[in-house]
Amino acid sequence: MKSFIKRYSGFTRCAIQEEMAYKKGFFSHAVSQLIGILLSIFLWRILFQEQSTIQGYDWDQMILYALIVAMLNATLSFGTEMQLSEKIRDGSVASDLVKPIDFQHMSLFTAIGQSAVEGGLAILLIAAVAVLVTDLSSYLKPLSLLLFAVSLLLAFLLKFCLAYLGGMLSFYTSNGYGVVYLRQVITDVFSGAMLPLSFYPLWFQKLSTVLPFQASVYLPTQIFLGRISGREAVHTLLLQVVWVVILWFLAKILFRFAVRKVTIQGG
Amino acid sequence: MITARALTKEFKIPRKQPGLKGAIRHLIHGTYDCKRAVDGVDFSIEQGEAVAYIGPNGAGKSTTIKMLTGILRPTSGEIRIHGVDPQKERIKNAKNIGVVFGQRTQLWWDIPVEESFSLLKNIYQVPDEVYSENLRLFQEIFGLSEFMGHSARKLSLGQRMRADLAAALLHNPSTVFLDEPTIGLDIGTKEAMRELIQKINRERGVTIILTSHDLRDVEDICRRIIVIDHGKVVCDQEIRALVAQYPMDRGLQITLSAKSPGLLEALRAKEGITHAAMEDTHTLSVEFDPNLHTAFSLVKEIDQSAVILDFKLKEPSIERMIEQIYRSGEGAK
Repeated sequence: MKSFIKRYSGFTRCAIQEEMAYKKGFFSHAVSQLIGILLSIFLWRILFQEQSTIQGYDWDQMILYALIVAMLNATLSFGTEMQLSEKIRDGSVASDLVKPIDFQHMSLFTAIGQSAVEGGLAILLIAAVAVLVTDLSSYLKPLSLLLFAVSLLLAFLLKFCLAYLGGMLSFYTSNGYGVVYLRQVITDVFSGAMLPLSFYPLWFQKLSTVLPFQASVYLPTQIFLGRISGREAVHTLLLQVVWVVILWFLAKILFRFAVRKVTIQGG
Repeated sequence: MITARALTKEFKIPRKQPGLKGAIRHLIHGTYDCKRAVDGVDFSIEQGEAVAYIGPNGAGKSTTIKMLTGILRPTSGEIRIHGVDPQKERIKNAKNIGVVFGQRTQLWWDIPVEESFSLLKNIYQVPDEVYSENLRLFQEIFGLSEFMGHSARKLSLGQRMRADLAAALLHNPSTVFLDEPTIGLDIGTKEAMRELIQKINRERGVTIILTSHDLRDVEDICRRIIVIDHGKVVCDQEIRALVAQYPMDRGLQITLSAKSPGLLEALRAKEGITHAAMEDTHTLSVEFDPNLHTAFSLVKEIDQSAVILDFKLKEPSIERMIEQIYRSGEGAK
C-alpha cells in the first residue's frame, strides 16, 4: 500500500505542477467560476422576492445547494475528460502503457492533482460567498459535516469514473468533443447540477434514482442540507459506494476493449 | 531471451465512401479492409544481443515493437519476453523494458525534465544509488544538466530525444526497444545517442532492439539484422555473415546530360550487369559484377552513346545490401 501510494502520488504532484504552469488559465478559471456563482445567486434572489420557499427550499438552502454544486463542478472539470479521450485517440496512451503502471490508477491520481488546484481555489471562494450571503450556523454540526465530507469524497470518485468512462466512450466514435459534451449535459440534468431533482416531474425523479448521476451531486447536497440524515444518510453513502465500485470496474473492462483498438497509426 | 512465434497482427481499416451519405452508410453497415501488418513473424533474441529490426515504411516494424512492448494485442501467435507474455502481464513486462519512440515523447510536457525523471524513479522504484549512478553516466555522455530544469515543451528536438533516451534507461531495463530513436536529429546528437546505446549494450549486457531508417545506426550499434517486408521476415542474420554472403556488386551512378534512348536496354542485355535503371531523368544507376566489368570500361562504353556530366562509384555498403534484399523481396512477389 505504501509503495502503491509512493508510485502513484507522483502523478498528483506533477498534475499540480502542470496546472500551476498555466497561471493565466488558473486565474481565468477562478474568475469564471465566481461569475457563474454570482449569476446563480442573482437569479435565485429574483425568484425569492415573490416567495419565501420554492419547492420546500428556503433562501439559505437554495443558495447552499447552488454553492455545493459549483464546488463539485469545479473539481474534476471538462479538461480532465478531454485529456483522457485525446490520449487514447491520438495514441499517446502508448507512452503510458509501456510503463509498469495501471492506466486507470494513474488517471485517478492525475485527476486528484488537477482537482486539488481547481477545487482548492473554488472551495475558498465558495466558502467566502456562503458566509457572506447565507446563515450557515444551523448546518455546521460535526456529525453531518463528517457525513458530508465522506459523501463529497465518494462523489469525487464517482465523478472521476463518469469522466473516465466518458473519455473511453468518445474513443469509439471519432468525435471526442461531441460525446464529452453530451455526457456533460446528461450528467448536469440527472445529477441535479442544474436544479434540485425534487423540482422535476415524478417520473423523472424515479428515473434519476436508478442512474448513477444523482450520487455524484444531488445526494451530497441533501446530506449537507440535513434533508437526508441518520440511518438514511448511511444508506446514501453505501449507495454511493456501490456506484463507485460498479463504475470503477466497468471502466476497467471498457479500457481493456478500448486499448485493443488503440495506436493503429504508424507501420 | 525474447521469442516471437508465428506472430501476426491484422488491422481492420474502415472503408468509407466519401461524403455524408458514405459516413451514414458506414455507421449502419460498415465495411472494412483487412490489412495484415505483421504476418507470421518468428525470431528469437538472446540476452545482450543488439538487433536491428528494419524494413521499408509500412513493413510492420512499429507494429511488431508495439506488440513486444505490450501495447498492441497480436491477432495470433506468441510472444515471450524473459518468459513473460507482454499482453497478459503488461505491468510485469514493463518493469524490465525501456522504450523510446522517436516520434513521441514520454516526458511530461509542462514540468521540468528533472521532475519527469523523479516521477519515473518512483514509478519504477529505482534505488537511490542506481538513480544517481545513471544520472552521472547520462550527464557524462549527454550533458543533460543544461536543460534538466526546463520543461519538455521548451526543449529542442535534440535535447528532447536525449532526455527521452535517458528517461527510458533510468531503471536499468534488461531490454530496450528503440523505435526510430534518431529520426530528425543532427549528426552530433545522433553520435551521442549511439554512444550511449552501445555503452549500455556492451558494458551492461542490455538487449537492444532497434528500428531505424538510418543505417549508420544499424552499423554502429547492431551485430544482427532482421529485415521485414510486407509483414514477413525476409532476412535474419549476423551482419558480418550477411556481408560475406552478399559478395557485393559494385555500383556506378552516372549523371547524363539527357536521357539516352536504348541505353538501358543495351546495358541490361549485357552479361554481368545486375541492375540498370534511371533514378531520375538524368541519373543512371548501374550495378555490375566486378569480375566481368570495371567501372572504367563501363563509363567508356556509356560515353559513346550519351554525354556524361559526372559519375560516382558506389562502394559496397550495408545500405546497398539492404536495398538488394528489399529488391529481391519485391522480385519474389
